[in-house]
Amino acid sequence: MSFYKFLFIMTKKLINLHKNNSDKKSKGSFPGQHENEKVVLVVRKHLIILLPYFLHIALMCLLPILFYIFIVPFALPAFLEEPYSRLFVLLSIIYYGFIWIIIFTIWTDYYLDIWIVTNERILDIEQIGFFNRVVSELDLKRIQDITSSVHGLLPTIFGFGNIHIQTAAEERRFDLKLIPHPVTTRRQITKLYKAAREKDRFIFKGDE
Amino acid sequence: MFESIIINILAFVIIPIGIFSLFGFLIFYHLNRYGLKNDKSKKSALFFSFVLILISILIISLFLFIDWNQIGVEDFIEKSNLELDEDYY
Repeated sequence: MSFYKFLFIMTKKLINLHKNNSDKKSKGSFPGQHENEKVVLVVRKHLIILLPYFLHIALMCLLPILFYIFIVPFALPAFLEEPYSRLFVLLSIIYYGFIWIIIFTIWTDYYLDIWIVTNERILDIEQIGFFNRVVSELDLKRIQDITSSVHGLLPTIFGFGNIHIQTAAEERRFDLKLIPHPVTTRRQITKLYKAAREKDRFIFKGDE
Repeated sequence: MFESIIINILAFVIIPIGIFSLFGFLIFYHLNRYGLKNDKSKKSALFFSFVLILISILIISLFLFIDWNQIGVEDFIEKSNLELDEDYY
């Protein structure tokens, strides 16, 4: 085997390994997963919903700098001299520490608000702050109607919207709000629903 | 003198770092406990904690770097050319 052939095979293997790993990463698994249950989709809200938070945080980050440039020289010139300038830096760092916590509180809230679509069910996990967590699940076979909707200019431009799932037993609708690519997601859920129904029918016939 | 140092340590070191630790624990716990397996939550939790520890070290170093004997409210007011409203007091 020539060196180049060896190199080619090794590169291909590495690429395949990376692909497999990234597939595993994208699908993931979760606590309480059934034995033959496969995670098909993990859906979070569109990143654009973080934009207002981002703008607030950016403004908050600029505040000490603006304060130092525009207010300190005129109103509080003591902060320009030692040792008060160091005190100002200390206060600013404490302030930025709190901003860092706020950023990650928002991130945690966003990151743990999740919909997991498997080949058996849909899990709606809602994280509200740190001490409230609501988990509800819906069996795919109980779906009666799925509707996707994109309303407004920004949702149309950035491609996000809602999916409403009507279940057979309850009046309550299962909502996936502000998710990216609602139409594609709806199609995938419909496919999974059909597959689950087919599987159920097949098992039922087998029993007969 | 001794009391003012304790108040400064409380105000600039113990209280901020205590609050950081509390929220840091909560965020780290949530991302580790509820994040999906094989996703980015654990990495982001580590990154968050790492930066928070750096900020805490920076606070402690700066606190030690400041000469607290030179700092006083009256001196600050004098240097800032502020006038106290004596009627208020």
